[in-house]
Amino acid sequence: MKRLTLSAVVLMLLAAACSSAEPAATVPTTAPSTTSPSTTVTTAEPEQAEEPLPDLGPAKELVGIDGWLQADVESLEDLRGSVVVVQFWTFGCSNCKATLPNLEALYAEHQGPDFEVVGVHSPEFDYEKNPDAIAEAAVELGVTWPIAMDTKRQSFHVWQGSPAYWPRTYVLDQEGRIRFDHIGEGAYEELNDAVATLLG
Amino acid sequence: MIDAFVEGVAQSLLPCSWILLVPAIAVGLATRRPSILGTFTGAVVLTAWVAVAGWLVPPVWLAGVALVVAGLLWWRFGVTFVPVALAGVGAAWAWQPCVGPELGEALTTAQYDPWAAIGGLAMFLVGVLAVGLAIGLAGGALLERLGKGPFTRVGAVIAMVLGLTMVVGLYPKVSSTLAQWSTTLWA
Repeated sequence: MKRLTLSAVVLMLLAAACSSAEPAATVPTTAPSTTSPSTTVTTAEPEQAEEPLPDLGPAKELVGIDGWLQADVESLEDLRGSVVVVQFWTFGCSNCKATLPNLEALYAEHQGPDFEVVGVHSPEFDYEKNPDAIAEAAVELGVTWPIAMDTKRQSFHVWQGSPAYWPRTYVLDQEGRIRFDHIGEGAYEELNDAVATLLG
Repeated sequence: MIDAFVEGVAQSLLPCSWILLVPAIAVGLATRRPSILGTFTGAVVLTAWVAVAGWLVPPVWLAGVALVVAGLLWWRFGVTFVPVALAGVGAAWAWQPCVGPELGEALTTAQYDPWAAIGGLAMFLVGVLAVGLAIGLAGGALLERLGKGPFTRVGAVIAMVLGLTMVVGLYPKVSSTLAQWSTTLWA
């Protein structure tokens, strides 16, 4: 039994090592999923940088939003015609915070009628649900873009299905279709390239 | 691969990892048998992978039931394969990860190709669990030298208490409190 268990663990780790030896994940150009927006991982390889952005299907509307902060809009529909970065985040999440400097730079670079960032604040813990705390954290963290308060995490689950993660960043094109999707920190260059490509 | 392992080690002390870390410490405290440590690790990795792939994402209360049953079996029969595997399954079901760059790549990949994601995910989790198991093993060795223990039933109690908080719906509150304390401490 002992040998069997050890063998199973060793085999699993070997399988893991083998799968890691493959090149970085590549981009499926269509979205097979019907339950949630599908996913892309773009690579930083120069030869792939000029590939067309995948079309991952239409973005869902935000649902169950309790209110907006720092915003003149009340839905993603209001932003049709613009390239929109939608990020699911919560202010207590360290990985979400790590993505903010890049987002801040991206917003500063492209802010205008053709580009918008929407932070969908989907709290993980009770203390993150207070709107005053969210507003205070936004100031502290340099989040100047519109924030949709998804206190009951309805949009969080409608968009991502299950399981769902923080942070998750999407880029929507002018027609509201998802052209980039990434979970967690990282892929900043790919995100910035996707925005630049869509803005032409 | 090594980056994912290092990220797992680095994230092991964050509040989002405590649901894996605490049972790992309990297992390490209870036994040094490589087969049991491997069973626990394997159960966590495989369960998390199946969940990440979206194939089986049970509600938290079911994770709680798995942990309670694990705790009862652990109490009755000691640190054997079944309770330890069940504890791993329950912990992995309840796990809500902090998603750094390496884990993020694995999770993103898992959305369309789960098989390609298992390597990064496994190495990340092995990193998290290695810290917990090491703490448990070191603690067990120290207590043994002091003539205390063995603490084989500590894990059973921990599994049952954790599981019960999930079954009765207290788990989000407990997690929230721990996260808030942790945030204050780190700040």
